[in-house]
Amino acid sequence: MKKWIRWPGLLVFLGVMGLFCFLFVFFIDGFVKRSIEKTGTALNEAKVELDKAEVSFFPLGIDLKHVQVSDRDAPMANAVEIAEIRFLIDPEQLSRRKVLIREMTVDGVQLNTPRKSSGVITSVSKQTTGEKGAAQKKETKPFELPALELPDVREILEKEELLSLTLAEDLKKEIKANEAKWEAKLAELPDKKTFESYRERVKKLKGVEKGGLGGILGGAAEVVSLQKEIRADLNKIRDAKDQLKKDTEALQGRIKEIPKAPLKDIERLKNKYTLSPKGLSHISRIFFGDKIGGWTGTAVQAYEKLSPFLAQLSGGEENAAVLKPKRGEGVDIHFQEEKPSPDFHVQVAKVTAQLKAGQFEGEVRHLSNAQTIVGLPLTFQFDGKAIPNVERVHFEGEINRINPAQPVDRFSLKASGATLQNLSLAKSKRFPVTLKTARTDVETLASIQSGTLDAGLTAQLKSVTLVAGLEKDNPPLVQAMADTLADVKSVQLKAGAKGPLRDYDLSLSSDLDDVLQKAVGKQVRAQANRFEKALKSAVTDKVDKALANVNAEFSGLDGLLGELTGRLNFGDGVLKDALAKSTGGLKLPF
Amino acid sequence: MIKSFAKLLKVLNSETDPAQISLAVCFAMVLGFTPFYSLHNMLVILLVLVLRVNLSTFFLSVVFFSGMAYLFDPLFHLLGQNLLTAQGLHGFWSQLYSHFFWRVTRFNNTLVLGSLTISILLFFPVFILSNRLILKYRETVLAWARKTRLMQALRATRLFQTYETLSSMEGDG
Repeated sequence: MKKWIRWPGLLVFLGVMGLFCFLFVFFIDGFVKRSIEKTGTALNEAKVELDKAEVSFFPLGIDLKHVQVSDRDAPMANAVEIAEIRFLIDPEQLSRRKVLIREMTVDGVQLNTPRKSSGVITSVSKQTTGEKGAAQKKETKPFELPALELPDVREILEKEELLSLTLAEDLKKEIKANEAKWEAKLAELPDKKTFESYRERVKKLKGVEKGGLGGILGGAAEVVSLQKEIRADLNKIRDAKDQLKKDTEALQGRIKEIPKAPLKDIERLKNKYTLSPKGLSHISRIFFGDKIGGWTGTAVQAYEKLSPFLAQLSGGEENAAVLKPKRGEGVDIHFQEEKPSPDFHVQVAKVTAQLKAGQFEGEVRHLSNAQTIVGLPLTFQFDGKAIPNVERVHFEGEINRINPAQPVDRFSLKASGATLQNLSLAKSKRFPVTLKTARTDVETLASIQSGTLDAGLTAQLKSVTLVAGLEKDNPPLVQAMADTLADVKSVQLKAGAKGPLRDYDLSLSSDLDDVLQKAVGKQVRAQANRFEKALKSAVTDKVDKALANVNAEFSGLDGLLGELTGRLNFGDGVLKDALAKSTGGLKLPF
Repeated sequence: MIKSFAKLLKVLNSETDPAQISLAVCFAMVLGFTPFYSLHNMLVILLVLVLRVNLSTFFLSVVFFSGMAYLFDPLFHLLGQNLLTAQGLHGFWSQLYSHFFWRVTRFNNTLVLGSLTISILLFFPVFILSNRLILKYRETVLAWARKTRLMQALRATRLFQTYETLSSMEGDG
């Protein structure tokens, strides 16, 4: 036995293990730092860096200092910068290769901060150039205020293209092309000369009759052949005439449509250049639409940017069969545990954030990589602390991926006592409107279910001061609208966004619409009627002239039809002669 | 490397028990085939140090088997994957997966399980085979080499006798 045992070897083993433990403790901080940076960078597809990671063993915890998460779309900016993250890890769970953090403290969160060096990682920058813009803001058409004064019809018609005129012009060109086509065709068809030659041949055949029996029989055969030729030519002319008639009828039908076309032009120009009573009922859309559309777009853009990370919250079974491991690493196959738990779970994270709007404090609950196992959605709530010009702000939400096939995310924002100042509502030179002051209570609820947005906003604006920055000597309607707005002391606003995230519809209404409708509705209606009348007269004049030109061009086609009829009549006469020759003129001797 | 190889030759040519050399080869095979940072390798290192196995042979063999492991990596992964995803073994693996100790062993890693299974299966065949090869080497090649005139002449020199005395004083590796 002694031959086989080497007791000093046990001491060497203990020494090696001791050295290993010492090195582990000595280098663990750097190892954790690099692991977090490597994993974070891979997930973020842009650099994730931290200044320092400190690991404590009793109790087991980690303290991360100055975490910077680069914005992959803006390399010289951090999407998130965090001053410090502290947490304790459950050692029992860690032994099962699971990270369970019962409470985490996240201090000094800042968004969109500048970086000293680029956060791009080369391997990703090449791949993603084609995918850029996936989370781009939805382009919304700006809401423009129509003219409030009566526009000059002549000026409008000089710069606007009338669809009815284009239609007439196109038709005129088509008639001309048809005329050329038919002139060429007529040249190929048998004409008067052709039929004259047939008549000559008929006359000659009359001479043959007097040449005895042989001559009579030979002449009869020639007459039948001649009749066939004349009939064939006449059929050609008749077919061409029928076709030409069809063409002219079709063109005539379209000519008749031209006088109706100006109605569409008039409607379009009326909507574009005048404030209609209907348009007046959407004035809040014009005043608030751009602002709310912009805020919605920014929120949706931020959500889409976070989507790849949110998708990982549900967790799921890894399919080892389809994974090709790196050499020397293998693949970890996961099994159902007696007490299933996610690989990563932060039960509560207490967060303080310093944003542009002010300081926020709140908490995030159940941040895990497997909501399917935890059975609880990620929830968060934040309250604004000493936010300038706002009495109270509360933001909360839920990211629910418990059923990965039906993700449901909900957000709610409530702000009360917010002071709005110098908010430009309409930048139109003719009628600039500014919300000088207002105290606002806002409530927003949004849900995103399987990529479909359903959001609603209600805002109560009190102590409102609306100012229209007008110059002197304004048209009466403009002045009336400005006076009405100046009298508005409160506004109730409702907005909604519904539909797919990339193509949602924005709706907006407020009691401001009714106020203006009541105050200046009659004036707007009268002005719109005056404009419509003037426009109708001017457009009809223009179109009538164009129609006369079209009709003149069409008369050419009529002429061609007459020509074909003439040829047909002449040919019929020749055919009759030939028929008379074969029936009446020929007398058999027996 | 040359020094290690020379040491191996020396061991082969010495009176060292062939089992000590063969066991070193087998332990080296386990350490070389399987991922280094695995719990079972701590046991292997402990056994190598405590049992009187030949260390020179062990270190040289670890290098050899590590190279082999790189070649057989896909095979180990495939075997491990088949074992871990076999329907009949699912309950067994699930039970192990729920226990702390077995999770630490990383048995659920395809490469760890595949390479360890191969190592265990080959342990005794390799032990017996290398034992026989060592004995055969000593009976034939070494005996023949010792009988050659060149070797006899060399052994008769004072220099060789001095070398033998000194190397026996160095002790067994």
